[in-house]
Amino acid sequence: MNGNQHAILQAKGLETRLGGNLIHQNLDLDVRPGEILAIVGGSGSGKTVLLRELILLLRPTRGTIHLFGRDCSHVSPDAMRKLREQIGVMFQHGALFTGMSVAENVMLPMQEHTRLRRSTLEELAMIKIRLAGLPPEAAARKPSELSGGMVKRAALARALALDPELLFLDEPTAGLDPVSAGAFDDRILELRELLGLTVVMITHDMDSLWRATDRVAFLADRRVVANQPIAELTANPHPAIQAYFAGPRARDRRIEQ
Amino acid sequence: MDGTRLVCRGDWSAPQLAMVERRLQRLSGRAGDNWQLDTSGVSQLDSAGAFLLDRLKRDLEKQQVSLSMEALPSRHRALIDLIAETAQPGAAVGTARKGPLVRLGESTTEIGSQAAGYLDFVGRFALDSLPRLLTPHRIRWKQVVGEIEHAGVNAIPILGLLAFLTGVVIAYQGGTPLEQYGANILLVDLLAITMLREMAPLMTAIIVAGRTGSAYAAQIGTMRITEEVDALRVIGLTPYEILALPKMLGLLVAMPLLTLFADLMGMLGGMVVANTMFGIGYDDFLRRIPEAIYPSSFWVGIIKAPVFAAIIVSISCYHGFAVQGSTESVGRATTRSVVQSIFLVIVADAIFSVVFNIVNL
Ligand SMILES: Nc1ncnc2c1ncn2[C@@H]1O[C@H](COP(=O)(O)OP(=O)(O)O)[C@@H](O)[C@H]1O
Ligand SMILES: [Mg+2]
Repeated sequence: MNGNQHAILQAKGLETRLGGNLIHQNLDLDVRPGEILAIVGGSGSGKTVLLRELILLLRPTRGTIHLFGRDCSHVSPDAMRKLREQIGVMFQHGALFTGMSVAENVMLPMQEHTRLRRSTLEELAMIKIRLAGLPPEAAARKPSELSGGMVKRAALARALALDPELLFLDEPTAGLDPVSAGAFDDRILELRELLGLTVVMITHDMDSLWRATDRVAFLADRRVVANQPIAELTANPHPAIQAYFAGPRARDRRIEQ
Repeated sequence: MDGTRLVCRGDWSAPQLAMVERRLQRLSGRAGDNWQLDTSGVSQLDSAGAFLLDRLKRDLEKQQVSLSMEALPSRHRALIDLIAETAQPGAAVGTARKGPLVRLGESTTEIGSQAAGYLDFVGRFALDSLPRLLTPHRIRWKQVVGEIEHAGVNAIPILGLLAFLTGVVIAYQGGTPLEQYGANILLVDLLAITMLREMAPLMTAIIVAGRTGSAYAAQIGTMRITEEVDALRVIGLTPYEILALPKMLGLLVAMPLLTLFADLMGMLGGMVVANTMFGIGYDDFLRRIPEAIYPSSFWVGIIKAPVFAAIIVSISCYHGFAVQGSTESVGRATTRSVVQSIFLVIVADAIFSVVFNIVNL
């Protein structure tokens, strides 16, 4: 086996080119089991692209990604299916299937990966919907009938459908009011506790960073320039990090701390 | 018997649980029994597994058998407790299936409301467009030209091929009986009347409805879903005018030209067959054409084209704007726009025939 035995996810020497621009170069990242890791960085620094590589939707131009200790450069379809059962993803805009109700959205991965009875799946879907913080009435609604915050929770419910070990969230609290955002963070912490999740999330939300993360990976100059707890990160002398946390919003937050 | 032990082993995560689920449902005990649950041999327990155990506990309680979870590892206990807390037995998920009578009623009223909705759309479209039409310099001519290119120029190869083949077929089918009477030369008349009056305008309308109308419905429908249509409205633009008017003007220009092109290609196809199969030389064929074509045949065909264009654009834009909510409804709108455009084009064609007959054209 390659590299750090303890990492549940490890990216080494990633290089990414898209449409002629170099987006990542020599990027290393590791995620420990059971931690909540945030990826931050300026807009356009390549966070979403990195996430797409980590969930094996996009192949890096160079470099390797190890998930659960196995190299993901060459994965057979069967092994990929197994991997997919262990990974849950919540996309930036929810990506709920618009033709289905929330409950059907949550049931779809279960129907694909298990052979349990439909009635069992329905009850399991209701459990996931409740766990994600949605009221039961929302289960029968179509995505177009949900508010922004409910879409996020429904997407979380679908990401949790198969009890993934590794959960990826792209800007989960963006666009939520502070109360809902705080509740969402608490939800994630609680689920980590109860289900033993490892969470990788992209976020711009200072409150989330302080409240919910164990470590924060900072993306700048096309690579991860620091990966440390938020309290240490804010003291990191790297100019990009200082600029990021010296913005008026971040500064207020630090003074509070 | 008192003190029955229920021992679970192995991987209790959702993908592996189908057999376990069946076996658990067959379990039954005698009233008053006390069972012990033992999950120390379980390598993995996920929420599906925990749910099955919790449901087993509830099922056994109905038979007055108690299932003790005292001895469980604390992690398993915590998960089962969480699931028991969140589970709501019998919570309704389903969208109830509708009965056949309900569906019949709904689809009947839908036909009515669609007709009303279409008229409503045509009215609003006219209201939005009239101010532009009265001040022609404010019309988006660039977009109109773009639509002419997409709907007209790019359709030339497929339409040309189909019209040519239609001419070939008509000449083949009509030529044989004419030959028996030695009236080969009348093949030119047959071709002129069928192609110019009927086939060319219809073929053009069908191709345009399938190629362009469907694209209009899909484009506008997708813009509805991504809220681009609402964004236009908020900016103070009138979506009907900005999206539908250039398409309408573009097709009003392109369709007659396409029809003319189909006329030519159809006659060409017929001419080739007439020459090779029925011994009518090209020069004879061409010389016969002025006699065979009543000017009315030609104009009757061309006059239909803008009417068909108006039908296709208004129907497909109407269905595009009627899209709501899901990507599925974009698909439905696309299908409907094609089916209804072609249907109405043929209805209009029938009305034309009757009217032209009455006025003796
Ligand atoms: N498919 C693509 N083709 C070319 N460039 C892309 C593509 N996707 C993203 N990019 C570029 O990659 C950079 C990073 O994008 P992204 O990961 O979405 O940023 P963010 O960190 O805000 O999530 C941006 O400059 C973007 O323009
Ligand atoms: Mg992004």
